[in-house]
Amino acid sequence: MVAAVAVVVVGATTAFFSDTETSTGNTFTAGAIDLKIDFDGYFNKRADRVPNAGSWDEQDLVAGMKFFNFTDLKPGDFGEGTISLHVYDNDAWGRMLIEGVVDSGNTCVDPETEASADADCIGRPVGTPEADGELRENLKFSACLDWGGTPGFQNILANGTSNTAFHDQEEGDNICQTNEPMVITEGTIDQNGETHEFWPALAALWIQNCTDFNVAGANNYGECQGIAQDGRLVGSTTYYLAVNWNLPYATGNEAQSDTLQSTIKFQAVQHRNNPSQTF
Amino acid sequence: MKKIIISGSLIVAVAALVTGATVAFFNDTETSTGNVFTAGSIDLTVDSQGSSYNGNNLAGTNFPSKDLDQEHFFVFEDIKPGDYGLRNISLHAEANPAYACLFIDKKDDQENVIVDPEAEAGDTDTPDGELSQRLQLFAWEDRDGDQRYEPLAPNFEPPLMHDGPSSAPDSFFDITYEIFFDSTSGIGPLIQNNVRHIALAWCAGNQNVVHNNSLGNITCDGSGMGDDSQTDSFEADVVLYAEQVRNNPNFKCEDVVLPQNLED
Repeated sequence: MVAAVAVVVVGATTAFFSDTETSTGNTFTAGAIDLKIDFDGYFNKRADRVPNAGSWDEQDLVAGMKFFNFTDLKPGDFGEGTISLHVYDNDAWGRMLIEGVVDSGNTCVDPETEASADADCIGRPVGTPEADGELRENLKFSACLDWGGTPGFQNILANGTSNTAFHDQEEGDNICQTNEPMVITEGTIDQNGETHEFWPALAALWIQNCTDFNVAGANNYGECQGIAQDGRLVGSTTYYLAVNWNLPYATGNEAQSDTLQSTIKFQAVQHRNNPSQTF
Repeated sequence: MKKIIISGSLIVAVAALVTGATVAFFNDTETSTGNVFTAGSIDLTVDSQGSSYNGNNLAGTNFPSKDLDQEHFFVFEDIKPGDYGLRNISLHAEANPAYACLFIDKKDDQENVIVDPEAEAGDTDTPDGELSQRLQLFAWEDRDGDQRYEPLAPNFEPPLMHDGPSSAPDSFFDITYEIFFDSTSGIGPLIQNNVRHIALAWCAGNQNVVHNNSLGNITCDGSGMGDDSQTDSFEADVVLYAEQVRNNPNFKCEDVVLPQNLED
């Protein structure tokens, strides 16, 4: 302490012209990668802005929020759920995981005991436990990017309000119009679950549709907003993923009373400093 | 020595943690657990309050609601012209609304031996018997369960035959299907918890049904069954078929293709 005082005194005695530039309040604040999800679901009707199979506004998911919850399906049933994803402020890599697939038959009902395609029910008494269901093998899923008539996601601004300067009527309308890209082609859910990374699909769409636009996908909520050259999820963009499912008419009695259950996860991880998409 | 080994492994563990920390990018995961798709079921069960033969109730021919196993609707081993009978059944849709149809399947007419009266009736060499052509059937919805056909007010019991409201009886030989409840019948499908009673009346000979009389007019005239049927036998499966109503607005019994290898 004594030495320090001495230095100050020395300084005061020499009155040179001087100037001081001060940078006050230097701060380091961590950014946030905060994924929020909203949902509209439809069952056995074409989307008409009146969802009849679940709907919630943008939020973090909590227990009990199921995209799909159907208890009495029959051949010919179909449905759609549009999942919208928002990562605020920061760019991120995104992916969807389907985990914990349960393919249960519950118990054998009478028609299953007479269905040759039902190996663990045929010829057995009604009520026999059925470990392996057949609903998973029959239920078909597909998904498109519900980006509307203009490539990219223009409709929702950074502050969450509707874009009045440009509004794409078909964007986020829960219908996969023919010009909207299929990102998951129709098929059944794999027994061991599935991983769908968003960036390869989004990068391919940039090449197809958006090479005249910003490589980072930031286009002031005009055409190609949210579609970046490397396929990242662009911060403060609202993406719409429309998931369609159907139980084909060809589904046989072996699927009666069976259950397909799974967990669906959406993950976002920072884009910056993370070129190899490490989650 | 032991201590040194332990500390060695500790160092390794710490190093691994550090490696993990270097890839801890900011991230967020949103999870929707327990997404469920469960299929419904179409499960038809049948009960019967019993049957009668020439006006007499047959003991022990009733059975409770069940999936059919060894139950026979008709077992008659000495039929003569003018015999008649009635079988009552009730249909239950256990879980979901369903259409229902009747089929006569796996028909098997046997000549057995050609007895003298058959030969005299001109029945000499055909391999198949004639009995199914001489046995006629009429089905209706027996809404009040009294086993009488009451087509007019107040019961308005409809025929359940493939050719509609003023149907004549069909011979078992001619029946492939009869419409119980389909999209064309106009009397609705089976609904769960709503039992539908059906009466099946048969006749050895010519069955005559009057539709414009308020009280059951079904008669059996044995003159339609000649000597060519003597000692013949007829065996067949009576198949009751149910199919989902939802997504199926144009269901017709005539379009049904019965599954192969139906159990007896």
